[in-house]
Amino acid sequence: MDDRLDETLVCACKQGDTDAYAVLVKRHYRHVFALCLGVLGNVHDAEDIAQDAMLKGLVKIKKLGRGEQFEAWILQIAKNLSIDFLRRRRRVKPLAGEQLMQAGQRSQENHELEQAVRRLPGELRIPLVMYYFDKKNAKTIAEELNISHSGACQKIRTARKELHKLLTERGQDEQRM
Amino acid sequence: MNSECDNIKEKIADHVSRMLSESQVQTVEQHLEECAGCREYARALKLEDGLLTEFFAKIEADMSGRQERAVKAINRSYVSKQSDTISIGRMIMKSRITKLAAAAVIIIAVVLSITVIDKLTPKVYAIVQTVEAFRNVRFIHLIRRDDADQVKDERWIELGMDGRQVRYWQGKHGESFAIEDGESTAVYHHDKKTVVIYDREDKQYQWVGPLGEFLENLLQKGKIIKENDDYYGQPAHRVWWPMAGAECYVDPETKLPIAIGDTEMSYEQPPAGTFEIVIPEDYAMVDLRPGSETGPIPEWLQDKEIAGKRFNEATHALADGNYAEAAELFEYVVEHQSGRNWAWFWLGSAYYKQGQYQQAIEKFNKVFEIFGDNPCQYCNYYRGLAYAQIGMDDAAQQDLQTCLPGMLSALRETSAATIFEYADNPLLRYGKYRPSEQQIVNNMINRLRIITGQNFGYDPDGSAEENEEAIAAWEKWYENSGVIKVTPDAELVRIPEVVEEGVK
Repeated sequence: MDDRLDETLVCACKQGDTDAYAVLVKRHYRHVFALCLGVLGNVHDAEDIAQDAMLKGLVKIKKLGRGEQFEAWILQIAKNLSIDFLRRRRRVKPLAGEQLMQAGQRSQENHELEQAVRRLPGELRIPLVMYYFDKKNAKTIAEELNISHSGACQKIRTARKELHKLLTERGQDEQRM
Repeated sequence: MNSECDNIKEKIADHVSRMLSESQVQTVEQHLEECAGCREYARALKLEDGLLTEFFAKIEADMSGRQERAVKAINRSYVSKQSDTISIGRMIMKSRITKLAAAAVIIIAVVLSITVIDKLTPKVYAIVQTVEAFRNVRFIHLIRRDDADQVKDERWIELGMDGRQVRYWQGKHGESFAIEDGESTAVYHHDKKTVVIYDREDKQYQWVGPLGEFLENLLQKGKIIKENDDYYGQPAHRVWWPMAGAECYVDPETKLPIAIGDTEMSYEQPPAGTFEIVIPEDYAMVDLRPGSETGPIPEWLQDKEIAGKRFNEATHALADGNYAEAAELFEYVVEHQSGRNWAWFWLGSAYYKQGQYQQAIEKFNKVFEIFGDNPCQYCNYYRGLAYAQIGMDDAAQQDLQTCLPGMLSALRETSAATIFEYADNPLLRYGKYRPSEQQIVNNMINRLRIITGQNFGYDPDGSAEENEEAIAAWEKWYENSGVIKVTPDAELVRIPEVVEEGVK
């Protein structure tokens, strides 16, 4: 485990030390991935975009003035890339057949849950992912999203309720079919 | 279901997520014992809670694999970028020198160091190489980003054999704003779900205006600031390009710019279909090409078209000193296009020049409304002057203190002063006003004299050293006192005439 500070590592990166960047990637990958997952709601896309963000960070690292802000900076890059990706994806909607094929490949239960998570609005999915995946408590979520403590609780609560609604609605749709 | 149930249901989600206080937990659990409906709801939510935990745990399971893949991707990208330059030095050192006798090593090392230096020393660069390199460019891809690295403007340009723009695309995130396919120009009004088609002769979009003139300016007046500098880790020569009002980074290999100011540039071929005018399915098309039969032109479009024309006329009227006319025309523009910050600003200027300071202030306020939290120093400057004119000294102080530091630093960084020039003369927009660096500095000195009442012996005909002293004196003054004192009748520096050199 490398215990050098982020700012030391950023400095080393600027001088061309890629090993130092690899340490930064390992240290912050999880967080970046969680953010992408929160925004995108899809594991594969989140992995792609998290990787893109890390690559972009390497190219742009000289632009980063204060090394101790690496985490906030790389998260911002990841967020922007995720939003860009969503915009692009919105224009190219998958065909119905394609969706069905994917559904058949996975276990029904997990698939339903994944679909439901994906259908949640981003503002609810992000705190939900922070809570269940990142194992953050409401206080930390509130701080990171820059909202009040009660606001964070409210979001998780609403996310759970919406998710329940999505899952039960889906069940009813299928029964009707 | 009763209202108590509603109330409890609110809390069940929190209960399941373990976010309730002790006493609330008791209340909820007591209710659950009594109410089958809520019990069922809590059971479902708990089940989902388990599913969610399990679902995310599965994602978690491959975390280290994902992380490794990211690190590998990083290493791959690094190797492909660096391998060329590193290997030359290392190969020679390892394979030859170590095998030779000690005495010979010294001699050969000297010889080798010459060849190594020869190979590694970046090639000598001259600006003419960039101008030459542009001759072979067919496509230019431009991207501008904001502070958070978001694309705010993207353009593709196709150049013809004669170096003129033949096709063009402008937009962001793949969403078109304007397309020129060589014959027609399409403008996308996404808010109105409408595409308007013009004849190319009637409407054109350009990046810098005539490229030939732009390059000629680089050739004649460009300056190499630093050879073998770098641009975010990429080797690059740094060049001052006056007409762009910005520094430019030139790739030492291709001699082509990789960035001009905050615009990143590359020269690859655009994706197929980029320059094709496509009308999205649910969009209307208004065809304004001569001879085409189009239905009635929507009112909003008529207003926009007229406002565009008036804006053009208004900027010329302002530059010509016809302030009343300019004000009238700009009033029309802002009435129909209230988001045009420059129209509001120049409208304020037109009032200011007519001595109608109160109106001027109102218009400048609009500019700040549009800018939100973003700074707008030229507007602070003029609003400050307008406040001073009507004796609102505190407000004037506040505005002028805001823009003072930026104005001072612009004495050394003239690209930062260009925006003030633009504010003073809209013809800069059309390339009809092109202040030299000397003029830009002199104008800024004059603005400073007006708001500070100070005069540090700046002489437009003086030597660089003398004027350096004057600039240093301004800086020292700012550090020590920096007190604003509006002096409208300050003695001004004479602005030298520009001699246009060979620009066609």
